Amino acid sequence: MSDLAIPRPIRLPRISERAAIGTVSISLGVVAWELVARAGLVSPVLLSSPSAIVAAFGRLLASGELERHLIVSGREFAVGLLLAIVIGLPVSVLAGWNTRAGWFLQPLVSALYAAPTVALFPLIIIFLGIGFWDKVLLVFISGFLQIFIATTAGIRATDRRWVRLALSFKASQPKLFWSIVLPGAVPYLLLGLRLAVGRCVVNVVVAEMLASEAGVGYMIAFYGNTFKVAEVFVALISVVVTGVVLNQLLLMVEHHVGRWRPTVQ
Amino acid sequence: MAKKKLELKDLSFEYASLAALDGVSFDVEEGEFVSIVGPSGCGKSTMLSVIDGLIPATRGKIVVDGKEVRGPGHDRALVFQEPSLLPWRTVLANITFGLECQKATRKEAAEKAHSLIRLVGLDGFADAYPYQLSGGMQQRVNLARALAVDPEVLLMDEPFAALDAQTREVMQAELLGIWRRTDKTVLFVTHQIDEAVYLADRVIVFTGRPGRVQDIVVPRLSRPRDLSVKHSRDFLSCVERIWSLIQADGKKLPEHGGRAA
Repeated sequence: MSDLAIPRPIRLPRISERAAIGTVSISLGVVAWELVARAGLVSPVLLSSPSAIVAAFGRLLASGELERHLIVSGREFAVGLLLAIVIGLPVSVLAGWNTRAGWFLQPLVSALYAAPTVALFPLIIIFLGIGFWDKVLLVFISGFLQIFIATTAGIRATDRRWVRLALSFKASQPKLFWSIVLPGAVPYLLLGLRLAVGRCVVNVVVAEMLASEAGVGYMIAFYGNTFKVAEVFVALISVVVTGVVLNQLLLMVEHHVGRWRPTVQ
Repeated sequence: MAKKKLELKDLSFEYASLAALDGVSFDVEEGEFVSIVGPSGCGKSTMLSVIDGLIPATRGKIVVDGKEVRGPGHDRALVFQEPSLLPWRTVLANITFGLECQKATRKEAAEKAHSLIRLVGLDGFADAYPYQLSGGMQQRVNLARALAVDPEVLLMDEPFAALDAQTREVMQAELLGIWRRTDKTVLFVTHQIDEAVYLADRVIVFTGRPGRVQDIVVPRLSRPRDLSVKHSRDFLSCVERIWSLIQADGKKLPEHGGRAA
């Protein structure tokens, strides 16, 4: 049959080359930094140096201080994000699917979204005090907003042709939802999750910097105030690495779930 | 005389008080292949949506197997103009969609889908995703999905309009083969006169907006037909006749005439 094209899975360009170039870029940056520091061009108090940071990393790790703070931040982040997913997903799906629920929830979320999330933190402290749950609430709010906005958009973006298809085959409402609306919204949903993770990481650190007695944000604030720049960098790099790793993991999930789509890199 | 499978009685449809269909009446017999041609914008596709039950008629009746129908039903299946495949489902899972809506078991649905994959010539593509298929192959899946629910009447809405000329011809010939093997009653809407004539037992010619039945033309072509029929004198004169009907109608309505396909 002349119209049978041979399907050819679209291959991604080789990852290895991309990774190599990225590694070279980072390495060159680190080497240049070290050279500038060794040459004494800038005071080590202001700039520190990669070798000093590695040394500080060793000290903080050996004393168990870094792990302790990472665990504190990690728990606040994980609990807040988990709540944002567990509560945010069903609520967003409802708001996208049911018109009246959408009308009810949309103004509340819009108002919350317009406010700078960090500006809510002083209020949260007044309600909950300084400790664990105030951070969790801030993380929850920032994650929830990202998930809500992406998921409701995904549910509403359902292709009208697919709805027509479902009507033509007399699909029930649950069938329409589970077989057409929800799978169609999955790419949006995963994007929302990825945005949420990014926001939650940032907000845990910001909250800890503003008011806390432990956590990576606390480390940054404490060592910053005492001019221990290498230690600040250790904390900062831990946050960046965590964020990048989580983002990459979610990208892999997206890639796996979206294997029905042609990929363009 | 063969049994009447589908009867339209004075079917009218108005959209925003603009008449799209005006008193359309005709019958389709069991196992018959009927084509509908008319100038674009004459309401042919709208009529299929009305018959399928996706939009309610303003006036008139639709009767399938002697029973009046309202709303969508398992007795009719629509082959969409755009394939409208679910991109996250494989070919197999797209074909089983209608069966799932009828609460068929997973095993039944898969068995049925596999036999339809063979029927429409997609062997080996059961696990392919729609983006991996050509336009013609996507329309084969679209057709198989409609056939899977075993409808009494198959409604086809310009399914080959977006295909290139060669693929379209191949698909026309294959559709006739599939129709012969399945014995379905088919109502096929197209704006291509030669396609209508090649496929159909009867060609219903529509007027421009609002759509009305202008005439019914019976091609004098024996079956089975292969594509060489398209060069025969009977075929060409039939096409010519329909063409002049549509043109004559276009002259009566100058404001729509320019759009005659």
